[in-house]
Amino acid sequence: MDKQLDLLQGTLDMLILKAVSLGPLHGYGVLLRIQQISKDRLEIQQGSLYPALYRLEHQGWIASEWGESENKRKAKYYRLTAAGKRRLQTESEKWNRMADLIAGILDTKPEEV
Amino acid sequence: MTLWSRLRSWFSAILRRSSMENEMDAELRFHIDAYAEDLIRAGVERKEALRRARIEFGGIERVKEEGRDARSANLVESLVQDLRYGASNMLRTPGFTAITVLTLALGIGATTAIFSAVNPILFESLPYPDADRIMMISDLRGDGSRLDVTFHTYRELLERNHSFEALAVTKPWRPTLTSPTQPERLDGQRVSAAYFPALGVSPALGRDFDLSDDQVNGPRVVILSDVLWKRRFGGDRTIVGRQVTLDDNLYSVIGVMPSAFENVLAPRAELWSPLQYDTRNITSVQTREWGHHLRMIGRLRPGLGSEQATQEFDTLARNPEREFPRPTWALLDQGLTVNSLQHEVTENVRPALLAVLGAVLLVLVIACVNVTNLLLSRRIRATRRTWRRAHTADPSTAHGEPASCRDGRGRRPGGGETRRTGVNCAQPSGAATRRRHRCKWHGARFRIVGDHADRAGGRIDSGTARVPQ
Repeated sequence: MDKQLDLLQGTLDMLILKAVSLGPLHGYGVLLRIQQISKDRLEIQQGSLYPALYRLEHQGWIASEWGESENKRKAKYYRLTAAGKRRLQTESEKWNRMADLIAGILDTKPEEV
Repeated sequence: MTLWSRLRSWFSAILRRSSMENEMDAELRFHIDAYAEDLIRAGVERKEALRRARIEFGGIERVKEEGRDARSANLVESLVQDLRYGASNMLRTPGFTAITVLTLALGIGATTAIFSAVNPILFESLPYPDADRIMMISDLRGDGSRLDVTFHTYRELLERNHSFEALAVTKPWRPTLTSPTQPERLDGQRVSAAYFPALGVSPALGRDFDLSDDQVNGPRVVILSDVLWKRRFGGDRTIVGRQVTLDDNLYSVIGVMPSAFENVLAPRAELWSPLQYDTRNITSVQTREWGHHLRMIGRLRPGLGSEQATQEFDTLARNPEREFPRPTWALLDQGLTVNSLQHEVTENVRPALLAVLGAVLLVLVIACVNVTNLLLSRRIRATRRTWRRAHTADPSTAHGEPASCRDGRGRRPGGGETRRTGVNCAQPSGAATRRRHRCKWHGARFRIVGDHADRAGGRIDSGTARVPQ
């Protein structure tokens, strides 16, 4: 049986920014890169990737241009902008702080209270 | 960032609509093809691979729709949608709509009516060319109140000033027009020769007064208003040069003013004749020329303001010249005032008109408050009804439609494996109603409402993740 995790709102944006920060990628490449980094433990629903990409582009955090894919087809490549880089940085920090906090709370044992 | 990138994105969304659509098409097709190729490489049969790629991608149209939303390309569409929603809402409650529309119509109508009446007086300039250059000049009493000028004061200022390209004086005149049919008492003005040039108007027919007309014992000439010309002389174009009898004297008609001419200094005046005051005898003080009974107007030279004119007239007033002796009642020792004609003619009515305008604006505000109250009370009732329904009946029939989102089209995204995990359509935002419709389309997809709506530009992010066992 599949176990499904709700991808917390906003985390998809962060994952995309991270994936693209490692080098320009087309949409499908972003999907594969996230799967690869997560060692196939995370799978993004394919269609939902694109609205997120367009939104990030609209906000100026990633930029796109047409290029040629590995199999010689025209594909749209996304890369991180300077603003996107800063965004990724602050988002990561925020995420880590939050994760620490929540983990700390969940690990609390009765005698510690 | 990002104002610039947003604007650029909007512009390209609006201007390059079709190319944006094509790019989106190509991009999504590339994705599906690439995935299918990967599946084929993994040993899936070609046809099956394409099918699975398409299914796992999810609804292409829906992705495109959300893509357009993400780029705010749907501004117009959502506006139209909102309008349609609003219109159907209004049609559903005709009574409420009628009362609201009537209330607002009354408020807006009253405001508009009063404003149109008040606007030409309070806010529009006078109906003359370069009306802001027309000034009115008054003498001042010891207590600071205004006083009409004397003819010799006008003469002195005319000779000595450099601020005005035309200065003129006028006084009321009420001649009786006699003719074979019926005598009639008319309102008119005696004016100095430069009166019409100072206002910036000239007769439509015939000629204006000139300096030779405006001399003591000068020719008896008269200019008629358009109304008088049409009423008493049938609009006869041969009137110029003919003679009319005014106060038992024969006057030659030399011109007719245009029909559009409005005479703000004497709105009822229908004919004009030269003042013909005596410019000599300045030393004899017991003459009408030394009486305070003339109103003086002037047209400023281009580029000069009323402050410069006031300054110059102050200097002139305080520095009498031997050539222009002054009697004790016209010493000009209090100086002179120079005000725009607009200000002078509206000065008395201005507070009253502003009060009326303010009152009618308050009526509009009250109308708006009433409508707001109506909307509020309706909203409260609707909320109560929803609450009651939600707590008494089957939850799926409750207002707010979470059920429709949960059921949707029943097709699950990402093929058979993915299980929907949750639905939340409840939204606190003002756009809730429209979003509610949208939820229906999103049917088979779960969505998370989070605190990141701001980052998504008001959109709801969505996505699924699964963890294979």
